[in-house]
Amino acid sequence: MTFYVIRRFIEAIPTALLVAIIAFLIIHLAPGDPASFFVGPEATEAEVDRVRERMGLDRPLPVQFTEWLGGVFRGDLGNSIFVGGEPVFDLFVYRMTNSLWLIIIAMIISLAIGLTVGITTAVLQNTWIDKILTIFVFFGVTMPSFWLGLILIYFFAVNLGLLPSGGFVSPLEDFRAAIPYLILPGMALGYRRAALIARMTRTAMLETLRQDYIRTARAKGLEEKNIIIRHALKNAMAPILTVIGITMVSLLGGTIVTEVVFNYPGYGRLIVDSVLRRDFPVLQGSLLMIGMIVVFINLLVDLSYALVDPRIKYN
Amino acid sequence: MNLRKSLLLMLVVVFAFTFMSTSSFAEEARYGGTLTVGGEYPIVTFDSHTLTGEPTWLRSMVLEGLVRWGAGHEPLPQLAESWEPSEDGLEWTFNIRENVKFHDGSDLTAHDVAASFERFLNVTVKSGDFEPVSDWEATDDNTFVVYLDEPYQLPEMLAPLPGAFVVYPEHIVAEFPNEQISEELNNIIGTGPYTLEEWRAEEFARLVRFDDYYSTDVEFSMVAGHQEAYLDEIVYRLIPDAQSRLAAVMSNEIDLAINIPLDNFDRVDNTDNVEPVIATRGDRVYFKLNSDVGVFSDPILRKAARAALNLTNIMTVQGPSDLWNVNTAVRFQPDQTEVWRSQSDYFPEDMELAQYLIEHSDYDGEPVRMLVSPGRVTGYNAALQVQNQLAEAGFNVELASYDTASFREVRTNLDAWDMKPARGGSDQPIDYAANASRTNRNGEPWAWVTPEYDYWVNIARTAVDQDRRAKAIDNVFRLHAEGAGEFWIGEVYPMHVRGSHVMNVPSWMRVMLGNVWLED
Repeated sequence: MTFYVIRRFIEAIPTALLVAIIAFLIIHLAPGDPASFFVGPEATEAEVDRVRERMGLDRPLPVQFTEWLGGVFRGDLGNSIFVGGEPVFDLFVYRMTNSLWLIIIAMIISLAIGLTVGITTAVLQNTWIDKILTIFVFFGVTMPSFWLGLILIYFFAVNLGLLPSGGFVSPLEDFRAAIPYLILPGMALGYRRAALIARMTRTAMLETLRQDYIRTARAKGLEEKNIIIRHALKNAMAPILTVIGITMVSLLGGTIVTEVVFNYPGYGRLIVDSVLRRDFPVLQGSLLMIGMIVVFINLLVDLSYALVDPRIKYN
Repeated sequence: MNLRKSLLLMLVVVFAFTFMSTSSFAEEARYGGTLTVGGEYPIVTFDSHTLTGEPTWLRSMVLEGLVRWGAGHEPLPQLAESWEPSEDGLEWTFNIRENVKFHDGSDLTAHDVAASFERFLNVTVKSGDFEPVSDWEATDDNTFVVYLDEPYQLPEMLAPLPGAFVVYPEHIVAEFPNEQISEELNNIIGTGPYTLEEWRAEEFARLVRFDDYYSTDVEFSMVAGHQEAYLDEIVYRLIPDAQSRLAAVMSNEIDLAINIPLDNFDRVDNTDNVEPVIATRGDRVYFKLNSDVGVFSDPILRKAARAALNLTNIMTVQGPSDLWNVNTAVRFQPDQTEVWRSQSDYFPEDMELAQYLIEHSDYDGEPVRMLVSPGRVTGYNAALQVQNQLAEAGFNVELASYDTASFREVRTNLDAWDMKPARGGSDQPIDYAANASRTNRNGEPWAWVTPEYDYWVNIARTAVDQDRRAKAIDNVFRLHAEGAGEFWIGEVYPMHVRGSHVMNVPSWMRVMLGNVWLED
């Protein structure tokens, strides 16, 4: 196992290097650079050139790449051009942590709503409750999250004044103050996923509830609650878990729009802003970090197979 | 009633009126409170010398320069109380105000000004605008002298807000002579009405009232003049999305939302707890034509395009008619100069003439490539209207749409476009006419630029005799319009939204918070 892990880490190095080269090239081959943003839209080309020179962007690409890569090997991803000159690594970790809070809340909301609605609609199939909840799910699947975000803001923040319309307080600094800031973006992000989970839960539960062993359990006089929770749901969980897994991955990449609407300082907004104004160091560093995270998650998944299935051994 | 009594009565009335208005203002205005402002621009740095981008108004609460623009388009005192050129126009002497303190408690002197000026010229992207400057010195604690190679309106170049020259203490300049000032709070030291207390790039900044602030006593005008720091604190929050900013001010989470799209005007106007703040200076909407290469290198076709445009129809898409103006002056407003010239005279709005000119030209349906960026809403909306009108005249207009960064790159390639919308509001009209408008993105003069134009631009920039200068400016405007390298369509007045409790928010294009106060 140890040898396998070491081997996988060594194999990850060329992958990371490839990610770094591709990230660097994609960013630099796109038209535009940060200098024109730095000086504003009205600046003359001579003024832009002066900033370009100061930023070192007038040097040949291989020189810039070598310098950046050298920094990466020394653990220095550079500094952001626009975000107060902060180190890219610190910035990425800070923003990713913020996004993880949002993802956790969205996941809790989507699981709570999705499983409850899915089980209810399966158990009460073809009743008016089923029909109403199906419409609720249908809206969730079709509604764009930015539109839902704005609706939530105008209802809960502007009209009712119950929750803030946007912003962020770190739960690590003040947990109680942080929660109100997470609820609306969490709902906007989680509702769509809740609908998907509900849909999949309903289908899986309906299939399971038609099985012979459920009929047998009912014939034996088992309490309906026990039948649904202990027998039906447990056996229906495999496909549901698959959807939950996919949901988590989609949440990682799906926070961008919600972060913009709710003015939430997460990593999605960081990357989008960096793309739009060509903050090269942040983009290069973030893409490299994300690439490394994906490589690491894949490694963890591979290793977890051995834990789940004793027949798998890594030698 | 004899003359003496009449005069006495008038004096009493005037005195009473003045006293009443002053006392009523004094009763109303109150100190205290925190003003939270939501804006679209991230705070990149507080080092004003190295950055010309927004939000300039926020930096101007902390850092001050020698002079600022007044509404009459003339420099007014800030840290300099007066200035004058020498007879030959080769020296400018600035008298620095006494009793002004920096946020660290030290006194402002002309030595701080001289050190800051040197750093400014070293690091600013605007250094090209100061080429006539040959030397400078602080001749004593309150006198700063700049020496020039040729006569030149130096105060006008120092006054505009973006890229403004601000004064740091000499010891800060000594620490960061050629590099960006490190953003630790104790390095961001100015003389402004508020001190920088804390900030996080991309998120927020918190400014606190500077109790020792000593303002100029010149009456407030546009961005210049007397400022009173009524507020305990100003908090700036970055809220990039306009609808989110609007929601935040409507739900009382923030007190002032900067730059809200004009199509929200009716909604804002009909909501009890908020009020629109309409800027008094507009964002100019104009189009640049590529007179060097392609379709519009033919002056007849430039004139045909101009004849095809209906200015009012173009501006209608910008929002309610009260919030825009068909005003085609080159960066001047009617009240800014006696020689203001409306360029409306140069737009015949005659579609038949446009079609006639096209028919009698060599135009053969080649595509007119209009470079646009949907992110720049004002110009983009106008571009769609212009496309329709030019198509009606017989031009084959194709839109080439890019994100902002790509747009700025592609526009440097003159083979890639024929026309593009632009917007802006620089208050350096002659500088604009001499540089940005005169030359293409590669620094070469546009084909429409004539020796006569350059002659008058030079006079407008350097003449000491103001009558001669006014005549030169008049000729610059005329020749600029006749060259048809740019079509000045109009201006759109930006809208900000304040909570009803936020008082005295003056706005030209950007807000100024120097005299803002909060109702109890």
